[in-house]
Amino acid sequence: MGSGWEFYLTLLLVYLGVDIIACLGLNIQLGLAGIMDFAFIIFQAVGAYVYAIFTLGPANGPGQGAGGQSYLWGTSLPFPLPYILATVAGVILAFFCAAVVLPRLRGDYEAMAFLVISLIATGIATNQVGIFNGANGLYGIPQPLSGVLNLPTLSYDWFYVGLTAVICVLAWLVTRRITTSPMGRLLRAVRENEQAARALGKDATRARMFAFLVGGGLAGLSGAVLVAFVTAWAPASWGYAESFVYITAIVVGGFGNDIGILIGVLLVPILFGELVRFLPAYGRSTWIGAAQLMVYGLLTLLFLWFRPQGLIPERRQRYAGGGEPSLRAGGTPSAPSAPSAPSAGRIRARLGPVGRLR
Amino acid sequence: MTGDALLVVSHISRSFGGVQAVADASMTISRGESLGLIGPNGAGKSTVLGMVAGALVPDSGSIRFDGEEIAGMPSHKVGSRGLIRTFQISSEFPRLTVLQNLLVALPGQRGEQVWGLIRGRGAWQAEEERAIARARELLARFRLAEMESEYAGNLSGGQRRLLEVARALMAGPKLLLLDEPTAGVHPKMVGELREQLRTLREEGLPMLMIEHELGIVEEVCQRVVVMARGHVIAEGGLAEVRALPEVKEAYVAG
Repeated sequence: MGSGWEFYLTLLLVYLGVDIIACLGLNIQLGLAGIMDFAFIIFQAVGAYVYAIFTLGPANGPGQGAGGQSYLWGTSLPFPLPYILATVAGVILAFFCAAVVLPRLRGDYEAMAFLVISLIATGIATNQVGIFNGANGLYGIPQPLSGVLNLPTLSYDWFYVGLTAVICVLAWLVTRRITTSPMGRLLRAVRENEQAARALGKDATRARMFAFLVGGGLAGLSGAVLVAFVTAWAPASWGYAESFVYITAIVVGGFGNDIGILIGVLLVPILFGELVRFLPAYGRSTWIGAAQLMVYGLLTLLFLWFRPQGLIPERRQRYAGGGEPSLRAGGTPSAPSAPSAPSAGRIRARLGPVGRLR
Repeated sequence: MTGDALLVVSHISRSFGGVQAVADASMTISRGESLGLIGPNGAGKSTVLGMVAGALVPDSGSIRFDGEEIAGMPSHKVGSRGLIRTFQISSEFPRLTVLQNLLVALPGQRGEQVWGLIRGRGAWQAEEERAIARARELLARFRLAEMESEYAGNLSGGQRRLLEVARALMAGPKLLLLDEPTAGVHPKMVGELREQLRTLREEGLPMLMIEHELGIVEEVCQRVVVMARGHVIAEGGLAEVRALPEVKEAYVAG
């Protein structure tokens, strides 16, 4: 086995990590809160761009940055600041998009609004050379700590795989904290029946906004992780169709389930995406990209038809202390896992009406 | 108005396109009182309830709850002030368990705040355990305890209505708004629901109830308001308004 395979493997592993971070974020938006974010990819894109302009050297004027590229700002910030700023940029962009879409639009209209936002973003980034060097994009983006570590290329790649894994775990911890909390429950409730959640006094728009910002931040982070490894970023990397790749991963793996997301990412962008590369050459050179999208589209259709809950559906949460029905006879259930909980079967001396006016 | 009025609806109107759904309707609920809102289909009852609950904005008029003007206030703000409604169509959270349906309803949870999330489970664990205990009490009372880990969407129609009332109680209502609680419920379950509503009345929970089943209205409500074609046409005890010729006529015409 030549080292070519190892380069390929490290690239795949970094892609896997990037896709996991992104899908964890998208799952908060789509799986948990039910927001049809067809603009998801632009939050990854802005993270990548922000990482780039905060690591590339200063640009004193148009066409005067690193390698004669035109871009805003330009400053060589040390690791890990560019990653943090990329995350913040994802949150900020998500805030503006959410402010336009979330308070008013729902369902199909929401999805359409996000799709056109994605198209507008591509149009601006492609045609405004002064922002992120237009259609040519940015290249020669510095890799984190490469100057400090001074490793041979392949060793550095393995180091970066490790860094990606650490960021993945952090992202997972953040999303886990949300999905297992009362906030996660509220978001599911809003997804299921927003009107009913509002009638219970819950600010559904605020909850949806929160989910959207978390998703945007994770997308921005995933963009930074990606661009720091591949060192180049252009509008062609984040066409609106890329959002559907992640949506397919979540549809296949299962809405609202961490393991499902991991499996979805392994299957959709990684396994199916890479298998297509080994198809015999056919027609134009753009065939592979087109074939990948066709495969993703087909997968989405098949799953929506035959298994809309995905491979691993959302888990039903059971609470400790539910006990056997017989223990609750008399209508005085024992308190769950509270320190003073009486042992099962013991009757508590607490009778009378149990309503609000107890 | 008098100091013991909980809800004062004065002269509210609302039209949809060219249809005047509610015209100049007024009604008052005192503390501890339950009011029945009855009338033929299309009388504007649900529109009144929707305006009180913040789901609809009145074109004109005023709605005061506990001394505060709430007309046009968004529904979650109305809800957080203790005005909790149920819906004409079952509106459980289907892919949440029965217990979770109730847990969501608890107001002011720290675990729903960003700061609570940052601080982690320690910030909301104790609150959550109290909420679970309270929710289980309510489920036991509504005879849903054995279903607590079942998806709410898997319950029968009647059980869903019971769940919805239990969930509303979990929110700690000061006034419960019920929109046809027995619509589409199997007669056997209607008895169960009726018993629960009667108990709530005995406990003194104020209610505003839209209901076609007049037997239930009689048991649960001290007073009724009759609406027809958007107007309030009568008000008083059920037996007394039933005898009025204009009420009889409205029902026949409706």
